[in-house]
Amino acid sequence: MAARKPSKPARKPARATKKPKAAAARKPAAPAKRTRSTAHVPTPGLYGWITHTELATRDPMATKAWAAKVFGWSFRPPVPSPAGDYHLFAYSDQGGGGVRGLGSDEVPHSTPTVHVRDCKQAYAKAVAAGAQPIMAPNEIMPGVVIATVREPGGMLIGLSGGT
Amino acid sequence: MASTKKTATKTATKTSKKTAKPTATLTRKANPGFVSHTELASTDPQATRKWCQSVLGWSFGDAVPTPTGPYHMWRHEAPLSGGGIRNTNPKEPAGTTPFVEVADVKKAHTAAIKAGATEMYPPMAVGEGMGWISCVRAPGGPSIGFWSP
Repeated sequence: MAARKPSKPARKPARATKKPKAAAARKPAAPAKRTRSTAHVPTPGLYGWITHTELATRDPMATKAWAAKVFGWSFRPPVPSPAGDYHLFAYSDQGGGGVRGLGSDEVPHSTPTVHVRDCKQAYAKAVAAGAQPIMAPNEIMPGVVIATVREPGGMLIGLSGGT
Repeated sequence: MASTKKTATKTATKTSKKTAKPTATLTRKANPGFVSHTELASTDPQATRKWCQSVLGWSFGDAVPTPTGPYHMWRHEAPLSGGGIRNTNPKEPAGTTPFVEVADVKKAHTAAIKAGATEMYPPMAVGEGMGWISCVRAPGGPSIGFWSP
């Protein structure tokens, strides 16, 4: 990592009552089943922000325990999915991520998910701009639509929006 | 990947010490646990940068020159979020590394290793007064970076 620009301290969440982005379960290979009936209200003003970081690991429980100890990340109860439990964490009301196991053809990696206004539109634009479709927009819970692409430089990028 | 990334980051850091011109001195404190920087290792940084600008609306400043190529940075404020795009190293696949803020990189790095992580590169200063970084491979395999003022 090269030199970093200085920045102002993060401000307090504008609307603390909103559900954190980290509450949205994501898994490109096999999206988690809906386990909640409550609607998610996307946080406005964060379009373009990476609000969710997914860690795909050989040993989710070991990664989870390590991250909780080293970073102090707080984890929610695991969300069951066909591919195994999805362990959501949050480090603020506006940022977090998830820890999951590997798919059959995967190696350990991370995937940043960018918050967008409209996931379907962003997905279409992403593919038109040269990305490879990986997972088409999928509503994983009311108010949370996610998708995944491989951008032209080879990295997996997630998209998350209200529609 | 660990060794190549270690080399690349070290060289990038050395270069940035000589050529980067920070616009201000770092004054803020760390937000422990926050992922505020995501590094993107791309097989085609220019294509990645163009795509991110077009699709994600990210704004980039002048790239920081390094021996392995330009480092393209973007940043959002409040809450802090950003990162950098660099070339992949030889035999390194495209991928991303989240950098987590900690109060003290040296202490966190030591604690991380003790808790089961594998070192990718040790704590080092970046830029001029831009803080400290290090990187490890967490139990289970994903790479994770640390940053502190």
